[in-house]
Amino acid sequence: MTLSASTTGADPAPPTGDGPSSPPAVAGWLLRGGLALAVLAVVVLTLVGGSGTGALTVAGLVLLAAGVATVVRPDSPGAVFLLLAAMAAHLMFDSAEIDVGVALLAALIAVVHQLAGICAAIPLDARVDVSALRPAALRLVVAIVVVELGIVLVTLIG
Amino acid sequence: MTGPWRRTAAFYRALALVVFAVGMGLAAGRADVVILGAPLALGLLLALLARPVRPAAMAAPRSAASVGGTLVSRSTVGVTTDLDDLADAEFATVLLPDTTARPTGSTRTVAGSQTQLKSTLDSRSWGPTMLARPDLMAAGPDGLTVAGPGAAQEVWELVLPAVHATPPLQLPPINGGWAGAHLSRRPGQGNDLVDLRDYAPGDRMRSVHWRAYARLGKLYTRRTLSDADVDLMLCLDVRSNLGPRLPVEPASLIDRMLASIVDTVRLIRDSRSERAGGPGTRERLDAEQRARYTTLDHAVHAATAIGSAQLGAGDRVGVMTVSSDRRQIRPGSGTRHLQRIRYFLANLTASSRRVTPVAYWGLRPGTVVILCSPLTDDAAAVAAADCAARGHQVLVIDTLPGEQILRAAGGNDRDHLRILTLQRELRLESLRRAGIPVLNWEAGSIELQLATMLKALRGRR
Repeated sequence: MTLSASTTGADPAPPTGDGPSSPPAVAGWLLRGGLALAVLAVVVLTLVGGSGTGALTVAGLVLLAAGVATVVRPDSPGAVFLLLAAMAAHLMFDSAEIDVGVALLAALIAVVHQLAGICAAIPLDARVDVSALRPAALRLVVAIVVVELGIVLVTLIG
Repeated sequence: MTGPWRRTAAFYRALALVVFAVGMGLAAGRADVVILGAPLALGLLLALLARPVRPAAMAAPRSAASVGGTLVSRSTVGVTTDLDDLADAEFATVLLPDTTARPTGSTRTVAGSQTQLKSTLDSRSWGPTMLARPDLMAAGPDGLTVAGPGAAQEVWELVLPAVHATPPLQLPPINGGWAGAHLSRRPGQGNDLVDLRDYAPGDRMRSVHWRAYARLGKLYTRRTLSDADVDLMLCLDVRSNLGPRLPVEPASLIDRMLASIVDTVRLIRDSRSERAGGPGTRERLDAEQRARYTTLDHAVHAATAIGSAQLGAGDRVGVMTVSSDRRQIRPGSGTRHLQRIRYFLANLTASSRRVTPVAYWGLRPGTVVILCSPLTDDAAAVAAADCAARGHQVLVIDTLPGEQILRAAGGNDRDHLRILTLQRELRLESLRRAGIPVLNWEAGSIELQLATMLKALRGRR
């Protein structure tokens, strides 16, 4: 004889099913991965084209240390050191010419700053709804596009 | 007065970088350096326009969880987490009690416009249980301001013990009784055939044995024993709560990181197994929970299962503790009575009081006593023997998770535990010799164990 919940007094089985569909989301560590890539790009872009092996090595080490600190602890002063060092290195090693490298570095500095700010407020194991990141992404895109368009216009006029 | 909101390093970083880029660019006459800070400046401006950064004037975000309905152990329930005063937040991170997949819950980051989150919770334990604490951290645009993380109010609920589906126990024949699910020793209208006698005028036609008539050509009447119901008293020994040694929680940062890595590897393995049609995370967590059951867990599960099965069979069931530290539930019947028993069991805690003498247990004559005890000392065994001596039928349910305790014990404890186990075995043997069936709850199928044991007892007589 098969025992059912009604004959044995057992509690009914829990409801099954997938329930309401969850909104699109990304893992918190993916944001951290994105930050790491942006930091790496800033370091590489800052050092490429520079001259003077000793100064470049020192700058590279400083940038790498600050970059690691930024990725591991986005709420630490690592990010501000990294970005200040990147600007200073650009000032020291690169020419005053406004080219693609400057446009890229400007965009990457904004990306690193914003990602570090967001990552500092989101735990690694969090599931992040895409809708939570949309306003920040929109602002970033607008800021970068406006500046890049400005650079293009200045280059064309100049 | 400062509010819960504060400016973060990101806010000061943006200011510092913009000032540095503009200042150095102007000082060095380098437009390219000013351009490096331009997207930052524009982004900061847009962020400040989106939500002003005035921490003192910003409302404190709050979160509260609620669980609807009566909670039953080993069931999945929905938890609603309400998020309030998130107008100043662009996104918020909440700790949800989503224990369906992770025992520690899950962390979710949602948009500031979200006001309610729904999650599911596997209530694996019983009794007063902390189900949720939706800690919250809110952040302004680009994380320039944050509030928290703040500890939210804990949600405690009474989780009723689950009812294990168990068939009713087939007890030995009862003295007396008129109707019910059990055999009786009293002749009367019932199902248990004793023998046939000659038909006498006045006998009911339905009691005529027609097959005997067909064979012998003479009317015979069935003689049966009456059916009986019983008063059943579930007597719980809660003087100790023994269980397997639990693994030590990782304390240092490295230990916690290692534990987190192990946990992640297990989750990946679970999801692979689930995809292949095998057991998943939920099953693994259930098995881990079962391996941690204590004597109190076993006693409560056994009492709920037996109580439910016997009430379903029409018996009257009561509950008490051997130390009488709580007022007993007198034998009663029906589904409402089952709820009463489950509430009693859900509120049980271990008590170190001594065993009350059986004379003061208030047992009615003929009451069947089911003693749920780990039998780790003589007092419970003496009480069981005393009940039997007073004419009560006694069943003992052994609630000690002996195998799990031995498995989890360290090398130093194992020898000591083996000696205690031997002493306990002698105690159990003395009960069996006195004709008291001892059933092991951990071994499962107590109805089969009882049937086997009664058969052995009958054979011995």
